[in-house]
Amino acid sequence: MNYAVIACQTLSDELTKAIYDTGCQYPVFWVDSKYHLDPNKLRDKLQQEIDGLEDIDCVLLAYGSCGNGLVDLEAKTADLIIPKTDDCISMVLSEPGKIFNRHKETYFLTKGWLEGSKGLLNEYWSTLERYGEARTKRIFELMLKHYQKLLLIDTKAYNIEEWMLKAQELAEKTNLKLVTTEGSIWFLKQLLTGPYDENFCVIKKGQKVNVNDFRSYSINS
Amino acid sequence: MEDLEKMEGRIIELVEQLDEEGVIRLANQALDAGIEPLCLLELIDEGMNRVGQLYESKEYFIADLIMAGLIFKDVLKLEKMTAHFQRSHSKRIGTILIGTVKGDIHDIGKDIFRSMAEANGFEVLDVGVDVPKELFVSKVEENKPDILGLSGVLTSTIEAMKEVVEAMAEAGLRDTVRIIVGGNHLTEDACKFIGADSFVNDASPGVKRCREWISSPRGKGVQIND
Repeated sequence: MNYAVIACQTLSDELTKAIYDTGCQYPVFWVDSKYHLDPNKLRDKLQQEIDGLEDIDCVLLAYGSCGNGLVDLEAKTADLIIPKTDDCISMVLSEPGKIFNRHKETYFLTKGWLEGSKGLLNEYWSTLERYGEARTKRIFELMLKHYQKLLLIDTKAYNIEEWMLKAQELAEKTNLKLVTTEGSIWFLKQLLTGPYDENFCVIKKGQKVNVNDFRSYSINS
Repeated sequence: MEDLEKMEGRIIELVEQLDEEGVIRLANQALDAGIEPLCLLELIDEGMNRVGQLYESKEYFIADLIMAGLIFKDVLKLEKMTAHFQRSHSKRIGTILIGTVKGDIHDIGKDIFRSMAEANGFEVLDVGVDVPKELFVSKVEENKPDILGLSGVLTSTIEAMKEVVEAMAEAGLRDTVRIIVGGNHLTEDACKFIGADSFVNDASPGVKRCREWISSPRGKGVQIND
């Protein structure tokens, strides 16, 4: 059976480590993290990537439901395997077999999120350059008014000390408290190796991803 | 003084460029030149639609969407605008009760929707964020709105929205109100799963949908989506 991986750039450090740890040699097709902003465009992009694959029996998608961006994807050319999880944040914070509790007042970050072209750090500097300090303060107060914490996830896939400094700078600019927690790449490793158990959506060739495929995998505290 | 027609085009451009001071300056000039407040609002709305398109094409950030919302509110606060809307909306065309569902604290889209809906003649009751289903039910029972609007951004809010609709049915209130759900992640399938009457991904089509409902006979709506 021939496998290929289609992955979000936000997970590049984590997936690269998972590939190294598992010895996986499947081809990986990276998709720009900017598609996170619009689930409909994400769906179109991923469908395009899936449809463009040749001689592949099974596509491993390093994504979660991602705002339902993966719902309605069609397994036209191969089976699709998708982690049964909300998004990359829940992917690296959840534990096998356990329901993930997402804390509401927390803005989650990894290195991938911080350095993304549309990540909060770039957004802050872009806003400052465009609108100046007073308006930037006003905008970010509105944007983050219900948040209390900035949480940097240490997935052990990147240099946490280096990125802690950047996250601290962002926390100071946005008046949020910076905290860290450990994450895990078990989900990505299992995506590469199997088994494709209850933690995964398995879409056979010819079928379509349904919103119900992702049900009953997360609750909020 | 610039020709009013040229001013109108320029106002749209300034909103698109997110030039807050420029929009306020020209809006005031246009109002002094005799532009109808509702017409001015339509120009701002057109500018905001362009901002939304630039956001979708990845040229603008979320901060820019927020800035567009702030400009919209700034224009609504202009003296001639507040005077006009106080006079013409002494009798509101309908009531919308809105909130972000449990598990989610995002409210940028909801706030933009609220401003637009109020500007279009609705009374809007905002019950806040992270709202449990029980509170939606009790507030609907208390206030008897025409429309219930549920907002959410996180994928998991689909379940929360469904629970609100089910709670409304259990309380015998489902047929008393039309339900619209809003969020970037929503699809037609999600809307059917939730049991809502309509879904939107943006504020502007949401307000348009609410206006259609208020002016049409009671019945199930069809989804609109830009």
